[in-house]
Amino acid sequence: MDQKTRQLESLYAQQASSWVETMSHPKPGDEQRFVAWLKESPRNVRDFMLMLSLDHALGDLDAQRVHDLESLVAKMDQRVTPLPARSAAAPGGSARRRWLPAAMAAAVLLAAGGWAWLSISRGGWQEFETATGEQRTFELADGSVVYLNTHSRVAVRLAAHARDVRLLRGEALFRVHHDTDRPFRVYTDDAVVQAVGTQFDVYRREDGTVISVLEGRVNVTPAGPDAGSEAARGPGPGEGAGTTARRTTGSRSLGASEEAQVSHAGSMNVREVNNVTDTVAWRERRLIFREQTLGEIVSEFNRYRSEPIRLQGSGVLERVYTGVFDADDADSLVQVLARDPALAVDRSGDAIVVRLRTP
Amino acid sequence: MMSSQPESASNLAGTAFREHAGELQRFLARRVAHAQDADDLAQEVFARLLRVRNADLVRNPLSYLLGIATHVVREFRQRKQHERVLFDSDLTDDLCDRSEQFEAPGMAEQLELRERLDKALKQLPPAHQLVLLLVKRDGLSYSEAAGAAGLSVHTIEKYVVEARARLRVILAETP
Repeated sequence: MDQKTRQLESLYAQQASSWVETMSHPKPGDEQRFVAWLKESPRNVRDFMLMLSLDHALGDLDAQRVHDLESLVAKMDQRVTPLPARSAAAPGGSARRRWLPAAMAAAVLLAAGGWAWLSISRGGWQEFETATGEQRTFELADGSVVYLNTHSRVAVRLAAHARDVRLLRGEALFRVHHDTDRPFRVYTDDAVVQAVGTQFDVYRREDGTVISVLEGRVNVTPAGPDAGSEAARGPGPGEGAGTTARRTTGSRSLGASEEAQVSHAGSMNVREVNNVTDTVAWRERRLIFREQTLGEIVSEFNRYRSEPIRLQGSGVLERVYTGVFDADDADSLVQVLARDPALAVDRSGDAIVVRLRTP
Repeated sequence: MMSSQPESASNLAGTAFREHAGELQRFLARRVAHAQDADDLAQEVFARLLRVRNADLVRNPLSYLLGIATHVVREFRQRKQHERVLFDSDLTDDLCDRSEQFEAPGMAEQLELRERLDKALKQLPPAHQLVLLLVKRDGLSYSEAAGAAGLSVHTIEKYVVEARARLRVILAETP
């Protein structure tokens, strides 16, 4: 095991061990946090179960009682006495202390986000990204939480007077920590969304950006040419100075259960949604469709798949379905489609092709 | 802080685990001791956890987790029993290895794990050893252990967490 793997393994082990401890005497809210942590990654499930098993085995530790407590106490006391010579004996000591804060930061990141990939580029931007099929949660230094959906990427910069996030790809749900002095702004090419303390989802689709508000209020400013604003171009990692957000006449305030669709051109459509929680069902890897076309349904599914489901021939895209699916389980969709006598579903391995059955 | 320290040995995680011991514990014990991948199990348990309604899960996360895991281990075993043994040397070796895994009489894995834990214990700093022995071997509560070791309850808890994590890493490193 190399040094880096070792450090990582130690952090994972420490995290799993902490959860075993917490769940031994959970306080209100611990269960919820524990479940959220488990649902972040199979690795967390694995590490927790193994740690629980280890803890169980510790119940029979030193059954022969060969260890003598007194001698351990004596050894401890020796360690407590200050030994100035020790730093000479262990030259690594001070260096080790120096990387501790970095390790702690890594621990926080791991605790929150598993393998979310992180890099620090110019101007203090941090980038987080997920692979296809992967979802990650991470907590920002201001206490805000970002849930990153499949195949998505954000860049974050927390400054003294603003918190800026660029959604570079995909979809993210933001739970913004309340801070009136530091507006929280999310930029896409199409719009800038500004919040103080709230919960909202931003999804960069091929045809524009969709903003859905779960709690509180946000302010949306379109950026396309029709909106006549440069607002959403915003600051950018690796893009020089960039412009700052500017409020325009095109801005609109959105409340809970409202959803805005902003086109590339800059037009904005706002509608009330009864089931705004459907929008963020992705966090539980559920896909919910209410009378949506197969074209829409399959393109949602394909966000989670390395091998896309393909629709062949005319008339297939427009067929309308309603259903709740497991994003990881394309079989559930295939089974539903296979029941439709009008459709033929061909699979070979991971490749799935759906077409209209020819009479 | 002082208020609700758990009773010595009977903590919730331990109790929930004992309810589901047996197959699951044997399965996991082998993997803790040999740093073998428990990825297949974790993947399957993870996928099923995602299907449980959050409200149900939050009410009793440990029971759900361990219940699902026990179920999956049982399914793994059934699948193995129904697999044909082909005369492919690799496959046969693999099946032999697995049959040992699932059908080992009684507690072989746990016993081995305990031996390895006893050895690993000696590699911990004295304070961590002391705390583990007081809490796990002698069954003292955290506040009793704090009194015995002259440390704060908080430190005891911290050392238990750290010691367990270190043991896990040591076990993963020593074949």
